[in-house]
Amino acid sequence: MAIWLSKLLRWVAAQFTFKSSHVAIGQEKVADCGCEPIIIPDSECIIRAVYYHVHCNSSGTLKWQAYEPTPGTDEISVMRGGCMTPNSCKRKAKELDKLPSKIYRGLAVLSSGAVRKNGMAVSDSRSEYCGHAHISTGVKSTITTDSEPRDPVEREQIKVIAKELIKLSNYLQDTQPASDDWPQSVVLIPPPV
Amino acid sequence: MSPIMTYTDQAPPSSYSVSLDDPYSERRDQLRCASWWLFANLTAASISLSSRQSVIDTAAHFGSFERGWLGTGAEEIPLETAARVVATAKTLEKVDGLPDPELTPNANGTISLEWESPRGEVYIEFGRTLISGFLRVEDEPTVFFRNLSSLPDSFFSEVRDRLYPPFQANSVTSYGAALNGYMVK
Repeated sequence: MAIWLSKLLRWVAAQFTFKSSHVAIGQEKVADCGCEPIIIPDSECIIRAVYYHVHCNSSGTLKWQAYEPTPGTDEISVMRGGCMTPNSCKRKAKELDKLPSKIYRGLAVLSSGAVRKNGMAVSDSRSEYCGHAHISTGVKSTITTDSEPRDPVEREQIKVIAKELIKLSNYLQDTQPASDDWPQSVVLIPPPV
Repeated sequence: MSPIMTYTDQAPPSSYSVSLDDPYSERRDQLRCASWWLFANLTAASISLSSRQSVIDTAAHFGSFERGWLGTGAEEIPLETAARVVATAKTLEKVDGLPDPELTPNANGTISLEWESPRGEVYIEFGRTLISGFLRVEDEPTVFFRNLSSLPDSFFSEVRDRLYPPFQANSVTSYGAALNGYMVK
């Protein structure tokens, strides 16, 4: 009986260890997410939510700031086209609205393979939410808390990379940003490489 | 004869109270003062039918962005910063031939102004008290400047001359001459 109990405990511990290894790499929701495969294939498209005033101007032109990394990181948040539909991408983007400073305007689509060909990494990061991924550019955007300008050399490097990503993206301006779904069926296709 | 009323003659209203723990009181004071400043400037600019009205309006709007405006970690855009951009827009009124810059609020609480033409680009980031940025024209090396308290008077006319050649000045100026002494090697 004691042997059986010991074996059972070992088995339970093994299961726990397996799940912990996923937690350690920031994949807490692997079991419940259902977004496979975890390694994003080159053929999968990735989607960037675009907001006014930062990512596009009043005439709807995409600005390089659309691909500025999150402060303190070299990571640009995107959504996985293999795991989220155009409508679910739109709803998620609208969920992150912050009126009146961050207003949803559309989605920009890129090919993960094309991004990788340009020397950047694309990784799943479902710890944020299921379907979340990020582009790692290799140039970190520093954090400043005193509302003073950042290093101009860093700014130029980030701008150069961001402009490369703009060339790789297909921006779909949403003609009805207020509605929850796209007005017509939309296919998210990156530009041909 | 009615007694002369002074502020100290008035009893404090019974319902008025001040919470010493109010974390936003200082911010509200800043907003009130700076709002008046912006209002005065915006009114003055409107009366004079500013040619840079959209720049002024946009900068003033950015000045209302509070902490978290872009999401977690985004710093507020200080009103001082918005006011400095408004002041710059007024300087731009004197520079004919230079288009309006692209204005962008930044997550670190600054506002950037940019010009871009086939000949090059200029990026200027305005902070609460300092200015940094860079200029790049065609194949010449990029010139960086950082932590300036203000830009030289001739800066914007040089931007126009370098990026928009139809307005090229008659005199030959060396690249970055307006920033001479400020450049970061």
